[in-house]
Order: sequence, then structure tokens, then C-alpha cells
Amino acid sequence: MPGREIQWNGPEQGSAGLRRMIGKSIVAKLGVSILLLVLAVLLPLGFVLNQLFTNFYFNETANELMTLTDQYADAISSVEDGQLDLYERLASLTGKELLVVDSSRIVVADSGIPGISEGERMSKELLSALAESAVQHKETVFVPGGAAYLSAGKPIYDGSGLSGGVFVLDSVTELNRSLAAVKQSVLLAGTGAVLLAIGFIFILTRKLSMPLLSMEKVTRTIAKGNLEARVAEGADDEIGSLSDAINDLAVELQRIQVNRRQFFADISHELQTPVTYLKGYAAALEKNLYQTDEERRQFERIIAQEASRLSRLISELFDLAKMEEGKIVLTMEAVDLCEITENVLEKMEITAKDKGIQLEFRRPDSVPLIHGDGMRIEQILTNLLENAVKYTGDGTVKVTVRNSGDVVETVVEDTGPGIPPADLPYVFDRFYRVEKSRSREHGGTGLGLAIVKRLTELQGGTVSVTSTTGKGTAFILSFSAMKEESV
Amino acid sequence: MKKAETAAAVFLIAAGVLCLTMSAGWFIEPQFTAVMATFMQVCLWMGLPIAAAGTLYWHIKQSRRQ
Repeated sequence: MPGREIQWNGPEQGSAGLRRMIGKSIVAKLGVSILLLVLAVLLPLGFVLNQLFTNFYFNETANELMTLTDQYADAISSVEDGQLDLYERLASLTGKELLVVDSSRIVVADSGIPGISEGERMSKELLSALAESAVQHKETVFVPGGAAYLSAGKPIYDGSGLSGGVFVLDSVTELNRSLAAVKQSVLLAGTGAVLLAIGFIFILTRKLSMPLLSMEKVTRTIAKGNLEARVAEGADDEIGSLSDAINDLAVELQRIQVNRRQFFADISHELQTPVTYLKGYAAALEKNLYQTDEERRQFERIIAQEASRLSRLISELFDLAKMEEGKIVLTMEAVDLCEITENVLEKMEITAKDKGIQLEFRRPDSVPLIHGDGMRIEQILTNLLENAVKYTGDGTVKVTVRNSGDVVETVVEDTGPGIPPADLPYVFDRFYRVEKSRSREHGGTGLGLAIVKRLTELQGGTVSVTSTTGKGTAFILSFSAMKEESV
Repeated sequence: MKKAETAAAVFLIAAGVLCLTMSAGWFIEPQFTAVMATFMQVCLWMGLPIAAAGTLYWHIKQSRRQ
């Protein structure tokens, strides 16, 4: 009958499965580790207990045999003693065997030890072994397959000197039976201890790993996009700290997601506005919807302005994206902040003069160099000065370079309308405008200050802002001074 | 912990305690009262560290609440 061929890979498959389970489960890893530790304690303890019981029983037997041997050696006055039969019977009553030899090592009395008969000459080695057997825990077997004996021996002295020796022997069969029972008992206790340990280890590892498993579950939920998921508050330990860190991460991700959505909404809006203008005025030109040549030229001017604004917006967005991805290349070198500031002021002079704004520059005699990218610092200062000139109707824009300790600061102050305190924390955000309704009038992209902040931070500096509504605004750029170099 | 896991753990602990009880009563007459007395003593010895750990845990929790 054709049948399905069943393949069984045997223990290899099982052990691979076990390895996979242990490798993938923290509960299994922790459990197996603790169990191995328990076994590492229990196994030597079991061995020690076994040795302890064995030695105890052997020593007890040896002491008993030696005491009996002493008593027999004292009692037997001579190997020719006619009372040897009496000692033989006495020995069988005490459950021990008796062996008496004369000075020629010939057996003169024995209580019926298998393999030994009266009148037999014993070898010197055998007698020596019998005398030391109990002390050295060495058993003696007289007949192959017969009982093993522990023994002790003593010399017998009569008036003329050594007349022979007496040996008391005890079968170790009963002793070994008792020891086997003890071993079984210890083994059972060990098995009980291991089972108990497995039970408790299982509960313990599950309890310990539960917060970790819960964190894994929540983290996976967060990874799938549910940023509202949070890990339950844990204990005040490392695991609790980890759960706090995961919750912080979720909050941060949520913030990034909100920012990203806002960014896409902003960018769509910012791109849509000039495109709408371009579309509208281009259509007007195409359909000759103008009255005069002057009006046509105005339409063309608006198209050019909006195209330029769109181009600038895209360029700044590209710059900002590169900065945020860390792809911008900075040429870091020793930079003279005063020189750069003077260059920027020179470029801004005509624009400022057109608006009737007075530009002021203050600097100390000596200013340390800073470590930065000259081109990028110029871009930062240009953005700040453009903003200052743009938002100041008429008045003064003051630039001060100052050296305070290890820090070189550049302060760009204007006498414009100022920024309301509620708007101050957001001025460095992308597309954030204080006067949303008048943003087109000033022609900015809403990315200038965001670029300033990113560029400053990329060069290890900081930028901050202070403002008083109706009085003006001050942007403070701070960079660490380079050691022992100043101009 | 799932019910099956709790049951498995309780079973292992009970088996362990029974093994220890049997081992402790190896050389005595297998009378019910003697076995129960040994069982209670094994439980007592096992319960001592658990009670100590429980007291310590409770104490830590109380002090954290305060």
C-alpha cells in the first residue's frame, strides 16, 4: 500500500527546537541560567552529602571493629588458649566474624568465614591488608562473588612475646545497603529541590520578564504607528527607567509626526500661493486681460517676483533639508566675526539707505577668532540683518560684536515693532510668521530664522532672541572663542 | 501569567515538596500522621525565605509610598 513517507530527524530536530526556544525567549534564557546555577550548587552538595554519609558509616564500623579487636586481643592470653571456641561463638553472637592466627600466620580459630579454614597459612600481605582494611576503607573479598569484609587486627602477646594475631571482620553488605538507601533518599531530595526550583524559577522569570514583554508589545504598537500607546508606569529601577524612556520616545515621535504634518501643510500652502499668482497672471497675459501696457508690465513684474520667491523658497527648503539630514558640508576654520559682519553691513547698506534706516556697527579693539564656516556665518548674519531691515520702518539697526569671556557674541538689534512674548518661542520654527497677514508684503519665505538656528547649531553656536513690543528686537549669536588667537 | 502556566508552576512546586517529604521520611514508618508532620515541616522551611522575601518586598513598597 503506497503510504506517506514520514521523516523523523530525531533528537537533532528536538535539540535545534530547544536551542531556538532558549535563544528567542528571555524567560527560557533566564530560567535555564538560574536552573544551571541551582544545579551547580545542588550537584556538589549532593556529592558532599554522599561522601559525608559514606565516611560516617565506614568510620563508625571501623571504630566498632577496632574496639572489638582491642577487647579480643586483651582477652585472648595465648593462641594456644583452649577457650578459642568460646570466642568464636561469642563473635557469631555479635554478628561479627573472628579470625585468630598464630605467630607462623596459621589460622588457629575462625568463626566460619567463607574461604578460610583452620590450619591454613595466611600470607603476610593478606594479614597486613586485613589489619588496615577498616581504617583505609578497603574491603576484602575471600571468595570470588562472596561477601566483602571490613576488618581490624591486633597482635596477641603472651609472656614470651608475640604469639599471634586476632582479626575481627564485618560484612559490608548491610552497610552498603544502608548507604544505597541514603543515596536514594538524597537523590529524591535533590529531585524534589530541582522540581521546587523549576517551579519558583518559572514564576520568578515570568514576573521579571513581564514588564519587558509588555514593553516589547507597546514598542511594536508604536512602531506600527499607534503613537498614543504607552508603557504602564514601572518600578523605580532600571526596567522602570526603560519604560519611561520608551514613553519619552513615543512622545518625541508624536511631536515629530505633528511637526512633519504641519511642515507638509505649511509647504503645500507656501508653494500654492506663488503658484496661484503665477497661474492667474500668466492666464491674464495669455488672454490679454489687461487694459494698458503699464498694466501688462505690472503683471509681468508680479510673475517675475513670484517666480523668484518660489525659487528662493525651494532653494531654502533644500538647504534646510540638507542641514536636518546632516548632509551639509561645512568648511570649519578660524573666522574673524568682525570682518564678516563688516562685509554683510556693506552689502545691506543700500537697502537700508533706501528705507531710511541707519546702520550702526560697534566692536571692541580686539576680538578672538571663532571656529566656523565663514560663508555660512555670513549667511546667518545676512538673514538676521535682512529681517531687521525688513521689519524696521525707519530707525536704526545696530550690530554689536562683543567678547564676553570665552564667548564671542554678535547682537543684531532693530527698532522695529518687536515680537509679542507669545510668539517669541516659535520664531525659529519653519514658516512661523508673527504677522501672518503681512508676510507677503515683506516677501520672506518663513524659513530664514529656521536656517539661522540650524546653521548656528551645526557650527557649535547658539542663537537667542529678546524683544520688547513697540521697541524692537535683538538676536544674539554666540560662538566659543578660539584660544590664543585674536584680531 | 496564564492559568496553565500558574498550574504548571504550582504542580512543579507541589511535586518538589512531595519529593522532599518522601525523602525526609525515607527511614521512618510510612504512617499518615508522620508523613503529614514531615510535609508541614518541609513547607515551613520552604515558607521561611518566601515570608522573609514577602516582608522585605512589602516593606520596600510601603517606604516607597511614603
